[in-house]
Amino acid sequence: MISFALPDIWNYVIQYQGVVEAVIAIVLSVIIAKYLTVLTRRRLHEKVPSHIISNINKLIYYIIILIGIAVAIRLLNIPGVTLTELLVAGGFTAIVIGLAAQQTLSNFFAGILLMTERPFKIGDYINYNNNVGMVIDIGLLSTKVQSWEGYYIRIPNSQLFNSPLINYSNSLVRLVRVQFVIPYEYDLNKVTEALIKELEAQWYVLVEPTPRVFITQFVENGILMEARAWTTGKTWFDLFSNMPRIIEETLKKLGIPYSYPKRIITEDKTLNK
Amino acid sequence: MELGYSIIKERDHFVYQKGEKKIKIPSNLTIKEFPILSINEAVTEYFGIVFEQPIYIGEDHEVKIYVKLPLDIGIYVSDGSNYKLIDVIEIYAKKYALYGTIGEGVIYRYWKTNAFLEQPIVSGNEAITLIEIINKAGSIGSVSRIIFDAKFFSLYTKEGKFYGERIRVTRLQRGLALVRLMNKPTIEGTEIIPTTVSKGIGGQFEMRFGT
Repeated sequence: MISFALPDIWNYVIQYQGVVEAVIAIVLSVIIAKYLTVLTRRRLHEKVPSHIISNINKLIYYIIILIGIAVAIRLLNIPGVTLTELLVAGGFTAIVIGLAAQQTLSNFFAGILLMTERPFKIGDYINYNNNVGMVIDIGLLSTKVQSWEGYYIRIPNSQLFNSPLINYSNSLVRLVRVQFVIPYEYDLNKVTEALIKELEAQWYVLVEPTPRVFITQFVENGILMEARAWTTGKTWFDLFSNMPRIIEETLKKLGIPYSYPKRIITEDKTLNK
Repeated sequence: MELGYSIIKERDHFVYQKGEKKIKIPSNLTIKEFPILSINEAVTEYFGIVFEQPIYIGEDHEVKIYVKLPLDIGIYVSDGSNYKLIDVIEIYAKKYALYGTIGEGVIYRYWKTNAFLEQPIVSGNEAITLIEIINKAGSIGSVSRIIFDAKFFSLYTKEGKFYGERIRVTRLQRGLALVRLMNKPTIEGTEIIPTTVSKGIGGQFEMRFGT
């Protein structure tokens, strides 16, 4: 008769009870953290922008894991290590980390403030320190912008929060101004009327406030004029990119040439005699 | 009228095609046309009726007028009870304007029209809407435009003609009026266009930058 001496697993369990409990605590904390992040994402899906949900989830995840680790350490019942000592050590570590990672923490809090104040959102075009581009991610520490040329710019949140920033996408309406010169001998009223008519014909030019064309200055090669038209914040680029062409085509239709600077030089032939 | 689109049946689906635009539609859905008071949702959701001449109204008086509204053709896919707009065939060119200030105003689709004391004669691409203007501002005032949220505006049909929802404008103070969509057709005995059944609470707009 063959008999097997099976190891008494329960003895191991009893012997390493603390370790087993600590592992269970960490596994449970991971499961709870995962569950809570999924729950948060589903609950907030239609109410809160996705980048904010993603950052909230990161916070929830790490807090739950930290709690799990604290509970695990407590369950390990390491001789000489009490909860009070753990808290004191944790506090001291926090001070050291806080001092060492001052800049990181400043970016972290700036990130939270950017998410609550929301000076821009993902998809907005911003200009920070002449870095112009579209916001593609707002993280807890930094914001990523894709420039018009296609490269990525990572800007620390504290810099974005503490410096002037232009958000091109936040405007309800925007004004586009283009200056041009017409020679002195041409009829200004005809130019004004024709240009206003052309601008009004564009769907993205607002009817109110009305487009305007007026003289700004008399310059050496003609009359400096300015055309102004309003458009919505979303159609700004349509107007910005088309307005010079509209002006050029209208002037061409009216037979008005480009006004070059002119110099008239006369020779005094009497001087050679 | 040539609408410039085609529907081609392929193995297990339809293909809606207009110019370069192609949309695949499962064969269990149908494609239908309905009139629509369209706006460009990327730009705004508001529609503004601007009167050719302002309408003056005395203290505590009420005026009823009719206006014509432009109807484009909406192309919808439907499962029998739900409708999803997939394209708009534009009959009318759209223009937009700003109501209010640059910081706090709204953009609206600009539609200039005459006001009529009786139902006007309309074409197949126009709807008639009744507007009731009530003046509770305590002085003579004028109304030159009214703005409302187009997504709550219902359209109705009767004997081949289209009608809009009744609109009530209450002038509350100088420079302040309330525009309400009344959820009632302009005339009785009409049938609602199913795609314009209002699915939310709304249809009230406060005009606080003057009328």
